[in-house]
Amino acid sequence: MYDLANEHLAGYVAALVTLPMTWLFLRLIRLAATHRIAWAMRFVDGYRSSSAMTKTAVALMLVSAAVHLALAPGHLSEPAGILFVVDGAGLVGFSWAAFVTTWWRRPAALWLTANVLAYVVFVVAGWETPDQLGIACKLVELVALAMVLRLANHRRRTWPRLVWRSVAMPLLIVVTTAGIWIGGLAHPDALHAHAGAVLQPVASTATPAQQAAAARLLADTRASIARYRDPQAAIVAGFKPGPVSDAEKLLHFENPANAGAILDPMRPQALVYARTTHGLMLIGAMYQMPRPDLWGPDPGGPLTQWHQHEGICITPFGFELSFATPFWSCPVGAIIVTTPPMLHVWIVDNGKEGPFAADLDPKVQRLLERS
Amino acid sequence: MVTAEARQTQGAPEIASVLMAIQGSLFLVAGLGALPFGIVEPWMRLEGLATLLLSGFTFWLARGVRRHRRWARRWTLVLEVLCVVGTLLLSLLPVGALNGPVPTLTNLVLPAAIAGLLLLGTGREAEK
Repeated sequence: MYDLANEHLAGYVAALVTLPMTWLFLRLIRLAATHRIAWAMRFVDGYRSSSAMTKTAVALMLVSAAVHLALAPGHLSEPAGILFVVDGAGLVGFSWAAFVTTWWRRPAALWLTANVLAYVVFVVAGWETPDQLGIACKLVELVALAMVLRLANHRRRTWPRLVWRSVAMPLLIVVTTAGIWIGGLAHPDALHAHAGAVLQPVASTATPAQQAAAARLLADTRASIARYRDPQAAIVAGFKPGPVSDAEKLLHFENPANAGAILDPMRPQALVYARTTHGLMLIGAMYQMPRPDLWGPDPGGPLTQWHQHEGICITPFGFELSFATPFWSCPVGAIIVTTPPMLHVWIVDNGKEGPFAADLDPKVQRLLERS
Repeated sequence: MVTAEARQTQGAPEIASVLMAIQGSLFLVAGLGALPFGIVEPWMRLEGLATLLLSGFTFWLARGVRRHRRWARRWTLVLEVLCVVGTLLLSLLPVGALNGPVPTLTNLVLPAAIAGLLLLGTGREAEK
């Protein structure tokens, strides 16, 4: 659901080179201090007398600043571009101030908080699509903020203040997570479908040859799986019923022997049955690639678009599912997985969604459940 | 800039405790995030509650680490080593567990950094 956006490559590079560049900068400024340059001496004195926590917080702020400044040129046509420059410059300024002033903590904490909350607002409003660089950057800023807050010299130890200090950071992380989650699900881009499923990039329109190929795939699949209308026949052929969950009204019967086949109508990886009032009804097949990092062949172009689910938490107890948080964490006992790409072929009329949609049309599903 | 006294109380264990507070918060959102799924998935309900308990335990350990308690350091090392080993084992499976910088930071770098900080000499000095 949260991609590695190619246009943000500069941000990744900037994050990686920040610490070596900072080390080089420190060497140079120490050299300047040995030549009795006043501002360099002041900085080096401040740096030497600072705690490891201060230095770590500054390093994290510099990583965030570098990412923002590296992304700014690509976003200058948008309001966010100017904000990136202001933000990056501000963080660099506070990083310098940390070693030469005593007043930097409170403004830096406010700056970092505003930074995180602004990102949440942009994502919830749909002005920004959450991607991994943005989320990683917010994680870095949250850690920096927690350190800056811990550096404060708390003299007044009243109960309200102690409680607020304890809950402020977890609360901010909960708000940030909820905001990114809501924004990502509410404003999916063209390559995301139901519940954040990632769609294969395809052309916008199908050629006549692709339309014919898609029709052939549907016909071949329908003919091939007709022999499994009776679920017992599927079981005899090696298909194993998947885990039954109250949340999932469709049942997938998987055949491990077909795992290596690629888009072969004679050997689909799974059969899909709907639970109806008169028993299981065969409604389609599912093709699946052997590896998560490999899109399948799409003979029908945009008509046969594969999809995969990333950031899914699967618990081995009862084989139940939930979504990983935007910070990629799962509940205890669940493991986080990205599924190999899959392509459904619905042999029942799937309404507006069509025979190769990632999901069964909800109206069709309701009709099937009542049938 | 800080005083020499403050510098002594802002070393590796204190940094580790801040990272643990972040980790505890991430457990908290993972637990809260699982609870809506628990409406129809009973095991997810239990796992969500277990994750909330783990979150509370992590905050408690963070407090102990900040106060240089030996038991907290030991339990934290156990927890973080489990996190790192579990993530590395998962990364061996073809399930895309470390798919990008966010899972790497959250599930590998963060616990490894906490364990590393606690194993540093400065983390051992002031234990009670």
